[in-house]
Amino acid sequence: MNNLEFIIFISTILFAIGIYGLSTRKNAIRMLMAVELILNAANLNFIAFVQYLHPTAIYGQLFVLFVIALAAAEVGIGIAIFLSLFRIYASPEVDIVSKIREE
Amino acid sequence: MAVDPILFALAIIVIISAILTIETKELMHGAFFLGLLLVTLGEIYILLGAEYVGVIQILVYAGGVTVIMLFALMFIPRKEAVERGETIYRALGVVLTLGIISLILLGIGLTTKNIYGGSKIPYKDLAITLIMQYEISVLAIGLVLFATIVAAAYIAGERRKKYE
Repeated sequence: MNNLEFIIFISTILFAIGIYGLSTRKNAIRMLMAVELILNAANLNFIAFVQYLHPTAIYGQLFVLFVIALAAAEVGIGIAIFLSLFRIYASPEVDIVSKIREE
Repeated sequence: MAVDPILFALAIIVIISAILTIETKELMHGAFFLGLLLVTLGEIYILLGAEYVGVIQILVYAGGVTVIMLFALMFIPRKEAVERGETIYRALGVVLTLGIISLILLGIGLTTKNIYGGSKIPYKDLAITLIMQYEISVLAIGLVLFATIVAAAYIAGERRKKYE
């Protein structure tokens, strides 16, 4: 196993942990953290591939910058929605909306 | 060629802090482990030769995103910031995760070249490419961030009269 395969392996593990957290947790902030793990796995893949396979290309680092900007925007919106829901329903869990609506 | 030992150590830190980010009971501890993970990933980027992206990662991600999460956690009461451990879909999540891991590892080809080295691109070229070729994208990112600010202020803003 060389360095590139090792980094792809690490990125896969990171992505899988993110999927696991996203599918098992109910807390909204914990789900946002899981989304961050998934985005960082994608970023790690971008950097590793462009540095090992085509190190003179600019585009890998460029797209990582765009992903970081969009992730920051996503966290901002997510936290705002979370605070708004928490003010209304007084619970940090995401299924409280459908639970209350069913009752 | 064997794996670089520094890279191996950093990867171990990344995996452990990723697991702890998801699995700790207290959300505050999870946020701190997320910060540790983001800083370590920035170090991996610097080790791989992408210094600029590594610095941006540490500044924007570890400095900004983690602080936003901590800030939001301070708004909610402490007893709500603890995970209650009621995870119904844990078995489904484990199966899904293992399936995804095996699918991706099956999909990874074994023929990968190994060119290890520092950054080969001058960052002036990065800036010129960003401004000259991707100007529409940069403007779009700026608009998205501006819309994010406005939308976040609108969503999280005070609307007491409507709900009382």
